Amino acid sequence: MGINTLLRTLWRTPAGPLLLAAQVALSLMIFANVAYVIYTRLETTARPTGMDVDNIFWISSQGYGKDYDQRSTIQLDLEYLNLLPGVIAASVSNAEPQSLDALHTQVSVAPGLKGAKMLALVYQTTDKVINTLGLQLLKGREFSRDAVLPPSSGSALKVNPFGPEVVITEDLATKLFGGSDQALGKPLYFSLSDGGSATIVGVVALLLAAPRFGLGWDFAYDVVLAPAIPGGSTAIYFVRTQPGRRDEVMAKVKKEFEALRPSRYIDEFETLTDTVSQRRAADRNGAMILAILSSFVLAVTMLGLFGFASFAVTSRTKEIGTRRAIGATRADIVKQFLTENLVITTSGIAVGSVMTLAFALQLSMLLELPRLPIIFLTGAMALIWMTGLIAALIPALRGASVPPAVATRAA
Amino acid sequence: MLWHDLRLALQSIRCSPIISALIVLVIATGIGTSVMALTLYHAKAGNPIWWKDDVLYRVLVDSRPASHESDTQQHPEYPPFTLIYRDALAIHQSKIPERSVMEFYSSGLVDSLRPGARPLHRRVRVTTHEFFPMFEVPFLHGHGWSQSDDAGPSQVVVISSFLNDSLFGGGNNVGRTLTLSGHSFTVIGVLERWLPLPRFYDEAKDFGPADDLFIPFRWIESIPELWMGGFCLQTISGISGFKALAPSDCLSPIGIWVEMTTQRQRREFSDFLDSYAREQQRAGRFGRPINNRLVKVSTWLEMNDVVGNENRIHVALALVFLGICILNTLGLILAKFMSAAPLQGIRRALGATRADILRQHLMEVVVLGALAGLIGIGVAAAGLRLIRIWVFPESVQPHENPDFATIAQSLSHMDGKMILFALLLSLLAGLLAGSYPAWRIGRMAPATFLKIQ
Repeated sequence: MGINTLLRTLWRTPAGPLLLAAQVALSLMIFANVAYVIYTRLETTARPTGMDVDNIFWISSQGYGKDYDQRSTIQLDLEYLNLLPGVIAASVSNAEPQSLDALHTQVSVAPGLKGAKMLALVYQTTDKVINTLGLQLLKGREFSRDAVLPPSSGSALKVNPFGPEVVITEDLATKLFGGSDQALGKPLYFSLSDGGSATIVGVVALLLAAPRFGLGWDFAYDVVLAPAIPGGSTAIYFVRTQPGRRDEVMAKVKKEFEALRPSRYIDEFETLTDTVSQRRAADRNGAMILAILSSFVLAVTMLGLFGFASFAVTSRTKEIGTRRAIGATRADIVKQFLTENLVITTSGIAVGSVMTLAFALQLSMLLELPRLPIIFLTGAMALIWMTGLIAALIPALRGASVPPAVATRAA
Repeated sequence: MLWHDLRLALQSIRCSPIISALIVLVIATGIGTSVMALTLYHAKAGNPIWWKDDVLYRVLVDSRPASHESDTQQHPEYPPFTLIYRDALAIHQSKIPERSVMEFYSSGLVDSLRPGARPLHRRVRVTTHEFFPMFEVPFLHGHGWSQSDDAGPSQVVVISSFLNDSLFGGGNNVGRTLTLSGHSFTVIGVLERWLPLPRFYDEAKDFGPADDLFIPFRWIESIPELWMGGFCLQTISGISGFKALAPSDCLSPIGIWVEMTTQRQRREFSDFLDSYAREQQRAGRFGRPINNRLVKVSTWLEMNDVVGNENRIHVALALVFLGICILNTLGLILAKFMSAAPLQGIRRALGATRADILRQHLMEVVVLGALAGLIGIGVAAAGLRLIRIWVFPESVQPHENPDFATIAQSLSHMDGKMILFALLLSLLAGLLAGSYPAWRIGRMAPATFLKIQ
């Protein structure tokens, strides 16, 4: 049966095929775009943090009252935590992990922000921080214990709150200096401290500070670790334990820690695993909802294609019988229905790809995503083709089993 | 006659149970998905103080420096959403509006001074006395503070009912003392549960729990422990603490709301802001053309993009999906009607008019649509329940603050209006999908069917 005859058959009752093609077009539009959004969301949730996430927990301690002294509290707390059996290292910081609480500041290669500059997140922290977070030191060394500044008081604008030496991430080193080697030993200038500067003594491979990535979050990996005990009355402790001993150490600390010092209480107490998972929950949930939606889309489209092919086979039983009687093989019949299906899906896909691209343009604007990579369009096309063929195969096979004798029977 | 149509429709549905079930299921899935997306959208799109939308204004002043380096936000044409400390003080002085309120969010440690009680880290709204009447905050006990309390500042605090419960175990605690970050305050008011969603009076994206304490604005000058975070556009960096912020030209977290009922007030106040800005320009501040705005609450929520593009896209996707479902059912209904066509041919031959056939088939479509609507509402309810478990785990796990459960509930709640809308939408979907098939079957000449027999 030639393609012309086939098209003419389809055109004789155009409503069904047209409806189906429209459905395929819309499905392609949704499917390709949604798959891309899901991909970006999942990619975001899978980005490495650079930390030894599974063996770290953190504590947020809050001091209060006149008797509270930030400096001695932190000093004694760190001594206690570092001496606990099972603990690899503990450090203090000014910000919760995976939050935007760290100081945002412009850093530059020259005083007065004259040279190359970037917005970076600054953790005020203590020595051993690289070991505590399980970071990979690429170049240089960690800052020394002597470099750690006492908690600043008064106007943060007037004193350098960051200490004389800093460790930065490779991302930041590359963006500012062109590479870790070039960055080592150079001064880094802060906008926050009236042009104060610190020497870069080390470069770590990776550290993710912010809760998200992607457009508008390009500073997420640009982190400065600066040796200073955070001011105020909040202290965030990070504790890294030997593999497998986190929960045991955590339970012990939870029991003892609050009573250890007067005038303070524990605000939060969490594993880093939980924190990272919570910060990524929105993206993960979004992806899940969209995945369900797109599976619905695919299922309904498949149903449509299946229904159409079934209807075609049922209503043309007599025609099939006649064709078989005059010499068409079973394969011919299967081919006829599959070709019909392909004609419909292909025309739907042709219209659909234009719609997909138009929709993708809107979507990338609204969600601030890069343009839809073409692989998602071609992938979705292939998937819908396959789905269509599979959906039509069962009715087509049923059609092929119609015996030629049907032709001779009266309806 | 309608009764007869209904009977025929039910009979026809019974005759082809599988295809009817498919039709209902497909529409129901489309309706369920759309209603879910619309519910989530609707829950975020509300204005919790809509009745004052034409009298409340957020005051925005373009205090940015001339350089555009810091313009990273999506709408560089918007003035900053908060004010520089000294500008806030100056603008708050104006007597033109009926009411004017300065406010910002802070947090501190609260202690009930009961032996053995732990201090609690709580949200503090640092504000001026007209906050309560302006936003119509309901009091359970006591009242807000006065203008002279603002000037003092007096050691007075208004607390939420949740804090009242967790600190004092409930009851009327007006007159009792608590400490906030080491300073003692007397409770002069306890609020009724007040949970505007979203918290429109600050940067509004927040569907978080209610503020727990309200203290007179000037306390910021004498309690250094109160958190106050700002941002310097000049150096593009964060800054915190009152001591650092107050003398600087950095943006503080302070916002000003004014209440004005007459057009004249609005004009005068607008002129006042412009002349203030011109004065600052002459003094070498405010590096850009005058761009001050008085923003209505509804506009403020839009500017803050409370609903979010993600929600909009979900609605768009769900509606397109509903479209796919309708196209799909159109095919299914067509097939269903056509397969029963011979029967209709007999009815026509026996005297039924075209209108009869059309009406009878439309009735069938309406019945299918209504069934789909009911199931769709069930689908949406189940989906929203799932979403509540995934997205708002607070609502299923017990939490000491009941606000979390309320927020989760309100963000995923399908109200009566939405249910009605879902039913209408599904009837519409049924009619959209069924009209063409019904029309076609009604149009056919009876002979077409009879001669096949």
